[in-house]
Amino acid sequence: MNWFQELLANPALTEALPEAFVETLVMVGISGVFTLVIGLALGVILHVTAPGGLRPVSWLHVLLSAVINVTRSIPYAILMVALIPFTAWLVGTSIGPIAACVSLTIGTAPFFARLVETSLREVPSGTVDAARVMGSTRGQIVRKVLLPEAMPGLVASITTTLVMLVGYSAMAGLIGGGGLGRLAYNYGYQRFDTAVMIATIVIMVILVQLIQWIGDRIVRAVDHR
Amino acid sequence: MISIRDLRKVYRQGEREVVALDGIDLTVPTGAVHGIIGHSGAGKSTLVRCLTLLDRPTSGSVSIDGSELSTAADRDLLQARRRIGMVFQHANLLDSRTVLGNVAYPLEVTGQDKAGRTARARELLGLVGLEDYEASYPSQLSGGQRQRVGIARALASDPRVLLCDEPTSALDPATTDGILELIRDLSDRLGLTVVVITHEMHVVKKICTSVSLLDQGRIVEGGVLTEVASDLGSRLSAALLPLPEAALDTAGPLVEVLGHGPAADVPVSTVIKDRFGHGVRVLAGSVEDLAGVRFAHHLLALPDGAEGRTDGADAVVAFLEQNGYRAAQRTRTQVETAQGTAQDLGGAQ
Repeated sequence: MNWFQELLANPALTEALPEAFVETLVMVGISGVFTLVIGLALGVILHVTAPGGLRPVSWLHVLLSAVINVTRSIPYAILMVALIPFTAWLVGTSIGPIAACVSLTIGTAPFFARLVETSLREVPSGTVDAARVMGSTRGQIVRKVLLPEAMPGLVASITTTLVMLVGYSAMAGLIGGGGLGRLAYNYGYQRFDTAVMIATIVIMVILVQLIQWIGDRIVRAVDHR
Repeated sequence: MISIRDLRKVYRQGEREVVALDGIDLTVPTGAVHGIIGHSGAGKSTLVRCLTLLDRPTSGSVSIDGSELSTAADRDLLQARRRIGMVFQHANLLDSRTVLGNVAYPLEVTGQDKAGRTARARELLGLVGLEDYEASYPSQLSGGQRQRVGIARALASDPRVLLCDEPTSALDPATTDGILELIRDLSDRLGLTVVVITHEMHVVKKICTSVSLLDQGRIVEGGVLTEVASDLGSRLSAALLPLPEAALDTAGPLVEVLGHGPAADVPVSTVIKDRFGHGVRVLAGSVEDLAGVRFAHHLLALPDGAEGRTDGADAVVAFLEQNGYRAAQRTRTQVETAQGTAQDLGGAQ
């Protein structure tokens, strides 16, 4: 059991790792909430303002669509660096998990918005027509018809987005975000501490599996189709 | 009462203008069950969308019980729509809601309290015979049950008018009859004015009191069912009272005869034999009850060489007309055209 005692004696594993794990959870948690709220709003606006939508507004749809496409075409590794001045201005610092949340949210919200738009588009037009014929207002159609009917797709999209955030948060760690990404880089890469590298990978895999498993369970519970 | 005046709908397709509705005029009195029949592309879907104002008509007016829909402002439109109950081909239920939640939906959007709408939804489910299914989801129901939920939902806001768009086209024949009987029964019990849009003559025969034929965006024939049916030679008559495919292998002149009421119960060949002394061959015939009236429809072949004689085709037709029948001499082409019309409108046997 020599190697096990060695592991327990390694402060990188006993002290830095738990701290880094919490930082990762904070990053994914905070940016996750912002991404879901902003992305959901953008996705609904995209769908509603589209030609033939509930309230077609051509210029808004084109503008929003363009902004989302531009943001999505910038690789996250570049986006997070490019956003450093903006982050410093917005939250007062460009270092740490809170600062990382800014670029994480801006990097993933447009992606989630597109997934939301796709899910909403899958609600049959006949269902929306029925709601209109029954005298629903546009707000009622969004809240009582579009979102509930698209719920299985939306939950699956949330799962995908959170998994992506876990990956991005590790990248954010490299430029001062902290978390498991930074731990793996500092110890695993720069100090050749293989144990830390492996432990980080195992934790990431478990975290992603857990998110996916919970997401799939919720999809099954809300899917009545 | 539904009143449609000179309703037109023109779509733009790039440079081209497509006239989907070309001046529809129609009045459906309160309590009537009116069928609008036409094959696909005749403008049925556009008419439905204009009646519910899902699409604004290009010109013309639609009014229900005297209140004008086509010029209503958006806010009034919500109220106006709630006076029309609509039944869709595929029911269009909300998959995320239970049966009870679906039926309560129209009451929810008008802001009725939860206890009130649950009670009303239960009552409506009883009306369509689905009281035991209130906690089921639509995906757990059969097509016919889903359509019953759709009908209950359409009635939730106490509409005066029920608009049914191909209500049975996605159902099998046995289920179709159940749904049609339900619509007819509800119309009688609740005094509803019903408009049924369909491409199947079976639906019209089963429940309608009056019918219109829609073709290329116009109503080309129409009226009370029994009157339309006895109008020998019209397209609706050919489709309402179709004849079986006949072997037209005789050389003699063909005569088509339609008798209704008491005349339908007398064998027409005997009537002719008694008067002219020669028999006729019955090439095809059908006897049907429409809206409580019996119709006997026959295609007869007179003996070869009877043409031009005093007992020829003209004399037979004139005699039949005098005796309460509708009769006309037919060419072989005319018989085949009528057969095609019947097939076109889903009335062929």
